[in-house]
Amino acid sequence: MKKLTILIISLGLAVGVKAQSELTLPFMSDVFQSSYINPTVLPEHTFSLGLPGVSSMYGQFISNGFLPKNIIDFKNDTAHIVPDKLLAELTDKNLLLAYTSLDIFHLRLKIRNGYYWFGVRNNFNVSFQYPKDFLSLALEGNKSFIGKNLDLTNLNLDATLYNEYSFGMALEYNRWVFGGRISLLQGLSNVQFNPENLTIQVDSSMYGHTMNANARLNMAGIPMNGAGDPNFDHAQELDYITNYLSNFKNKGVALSVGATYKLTDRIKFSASFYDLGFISWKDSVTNYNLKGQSEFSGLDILQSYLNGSDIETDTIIDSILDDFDRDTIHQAYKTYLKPKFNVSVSYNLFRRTILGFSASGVYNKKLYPAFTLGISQGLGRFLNLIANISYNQKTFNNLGVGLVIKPGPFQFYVIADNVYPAINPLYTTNGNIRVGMNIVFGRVKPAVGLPYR
Amino acid sequence: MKTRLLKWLGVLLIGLTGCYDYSSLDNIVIDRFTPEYVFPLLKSEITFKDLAEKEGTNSVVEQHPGSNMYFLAYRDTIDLGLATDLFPISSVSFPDNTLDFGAALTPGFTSFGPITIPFNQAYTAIPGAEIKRVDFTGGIIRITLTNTFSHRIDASISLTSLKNSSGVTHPPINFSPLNAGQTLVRDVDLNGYYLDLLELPNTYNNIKYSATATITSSGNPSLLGNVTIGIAINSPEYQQITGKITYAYNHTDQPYSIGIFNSTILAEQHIAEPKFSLNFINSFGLPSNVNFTRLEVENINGVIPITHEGPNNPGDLLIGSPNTLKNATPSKLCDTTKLVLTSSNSNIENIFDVAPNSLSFGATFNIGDAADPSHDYFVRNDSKFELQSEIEIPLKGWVVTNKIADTVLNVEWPDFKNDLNLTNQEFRIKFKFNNGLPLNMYLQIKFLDTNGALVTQLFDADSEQLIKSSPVDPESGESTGKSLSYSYIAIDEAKYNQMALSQDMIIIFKFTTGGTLHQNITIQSSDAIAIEMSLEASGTVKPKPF
Repeated sequence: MKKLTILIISLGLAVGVKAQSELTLPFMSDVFQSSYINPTVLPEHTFSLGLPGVSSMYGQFISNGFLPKNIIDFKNDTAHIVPDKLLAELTDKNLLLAYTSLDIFHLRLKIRNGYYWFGVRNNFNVSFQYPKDFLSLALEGNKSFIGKNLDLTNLNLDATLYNEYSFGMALEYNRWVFGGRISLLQGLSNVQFNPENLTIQVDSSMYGHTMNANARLNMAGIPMNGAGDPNFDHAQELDYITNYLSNFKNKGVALSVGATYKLTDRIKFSASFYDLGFISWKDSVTNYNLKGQSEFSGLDILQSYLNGSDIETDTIIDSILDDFDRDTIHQAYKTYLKPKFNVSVSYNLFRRTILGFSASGVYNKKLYPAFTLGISQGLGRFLNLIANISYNQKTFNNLGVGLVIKPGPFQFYVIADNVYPAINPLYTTNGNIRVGMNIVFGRVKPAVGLPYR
Repeated sequence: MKTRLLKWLGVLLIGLTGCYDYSSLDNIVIDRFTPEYVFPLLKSEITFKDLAEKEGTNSVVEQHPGSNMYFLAYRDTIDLGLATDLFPISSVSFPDNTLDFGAALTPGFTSFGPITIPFNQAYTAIPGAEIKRVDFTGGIIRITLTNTFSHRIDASISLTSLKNSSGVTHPPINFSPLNAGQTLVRDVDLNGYYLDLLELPNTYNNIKYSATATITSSGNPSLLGNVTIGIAINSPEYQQITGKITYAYNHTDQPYSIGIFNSTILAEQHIAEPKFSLNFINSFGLPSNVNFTRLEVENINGVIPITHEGPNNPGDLLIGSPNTLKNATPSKLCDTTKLVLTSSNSNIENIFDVAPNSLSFGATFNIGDAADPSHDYFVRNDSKFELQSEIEIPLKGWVVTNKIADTVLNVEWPDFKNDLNLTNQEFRIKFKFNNGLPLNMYLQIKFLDTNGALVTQLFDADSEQLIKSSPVDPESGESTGKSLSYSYIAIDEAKYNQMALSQDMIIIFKFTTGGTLHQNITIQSSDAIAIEMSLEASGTVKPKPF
């Protein structure tokens, strides 16, 4: 447990981003969940069923602000996190991400030359983008910003909880496979802070602070009290939970499309995009706006002090806030999923040995690319192994592995894009794992034994 | 080929997945770091009026009409010698009088009378006074008649002295029938009536009344008995007492606080043209005077008397001899007498050199004049001396030294090292003064241990100049501009650790006037000082290990 805590702490001081592409999953076409990345994958079985809670559980973290090894010194059996080195690593946009996805149900069937499926899953992500100045303020103080601009504009937060109801299909047509998935998104909760401007200037004479803000905090699906403030007192009541989970007023859609071309029996090219969509938040929406400029050069309290009057700090704070245009409104807004793509080529080296290369990425204000070289090896009728290495989140040390075991109709699998956190956490900026069990049967192709039998 | 590939794959896996020694992460600490923060704390502009005038006190800072010069005034109003205290009238029961038919009654009489007998009753409402009249707003006259005859009496009492506001005597009070052995009581409300106590030509304090009675035989042969008449005045409340009244009232001590020098511990200063004035608003309708038995100021070094100097001029506040006070008349509810001590008729200009923190006096008020034959003077129930005092200190003068000390007891010093894991802390308070006041200001803070011994002090020197005086016009002593200055108070860890050993602090504030030595400066209403204060703080944070 301590190692886990250490690992988490060493990976991030801050927050989270949007879900990153999964890099190993596309190499596991036998598993239904690979269709999340590429809807054109053709499985080995005509039937796949996912049951709630066991079909797939996915967790992911990313901290791309720094590489742990670059900020830690080892002295006298102690790992020293060196603040100066940490600051040297950070840029004006550093991301922290926590993402989970839990499959609730899926059913996939092969009908003639097509595969059709329906699935439901729950997604939760918390992403936080922080600028270097944010940590500089804590570690160095604000003195270093005298005469400069303390820019917190890149301080963003986005937390979303939603359910995804998908219908998908993949069709073979000569050498082509075309696939797609359309999803109805049920937005449950969202908190979004994405300022257009958030800066502080520190005057060099008497250190007056001038704050400029143009920011909006959007919230939807957050329980509120009668005064309109967030309050979770009733969030555990059955009525509230029932209403919450059955609320379809915050709807959205997402689209996934892909195509695969089989150049030869050994070479395939594939391209897909997914998570192209949005959620329109219309119900239980609150927007807090802050816009304007305020200068704080010290409290004008000397008269009150000399007169022995009470100093009303609330009034003083209010007067500073009054410099800003502030309002609380209830206006619908949209949040967009972070679109992702995957382009790959695979080569059947041997009958059950496949080499593959993929380029994938996610667009979250800027493109976060990843490149993966992987190999898949089938061993007997019940076992499949995948290994890959990726350049992802500024590092090459992303060793991905996958394992599929299928005793009878049960298809167990575990996939991780980067096992390096377990191998050497100091070289880790990201990690994820997906585990689950599907029920599959009805082989499309004849069973194949061990390659060396 | 297949075998070779699988071997390479195995090598690659092993190469990339060498075991990591997690024990190297058993101990993780964040290295010390030293943040440096700057904060603006204060930005205010204040005038001398703001500095000197405090809510809840009697001090005000004002200007005389047509003048731009400030003066500091301590004003107070007190009521002295309330008539209801000096001249209370209390309940009184007069001796009984007897109505006796005497020899007029003979055995076998059937009826006799009516007969009327007048009475006079001395009434000394105010001891020593010759009262002509008392006007009432409350109280009663109680008349008690007791018949000791064995026969019926029909009687009435006429209170001849009791008249209404129109001068009409109160109607007779009927006591019929007053049966044998019976006692009857009658009350007369005094509100709206007055007692005419003058028996012409020159007898005062006299109540006149008469009794009229008829006796009717009951058939009892006894002729013994009488009718006794008892009169009492109960709970009287007067509106006015008229007559010849004299009274000497001693007010032994009347102090006034002079707040501006309250905390001064050392002063070499001079205030030009101060003034002490008293307004006596006299609502007694009697000739009055006040004789000050003492008038003095006090500071931490002792008492200094204020004396009148030079010839006695009208309006001078005389000390040791009577000051005549105007009095109320029937047409004037009160009259005001103003008595003043100034730099030209007293030593008052010198007494502020010692930075007194209080002024006090004792006085005797003489009310009424025994030599005056008039009996038309009066006291109302609300008569009093309303005394309005004003100590006026013009903000004009010079200060070579004025040290003010305030003590802060039982200071609780934060333990930065243990509570906040903070070491090497340094603080610097930065001041920016834009001073339009012709005053230099200095600061020192002394830190004392539990025994009162000096532990350390903020500045090594006697005191550190914080604020520089504005430029001063050599002729008028007025401020001619503003002086911009920066001052700093720096406290490093060593200094703080010394300070933290102390229990109490004495804050010593010194100010002097600008311009040349002993040059009178003048503080004007337009003079102000802008103060900005910021804090620079740094320290080494040592986070606790994970």
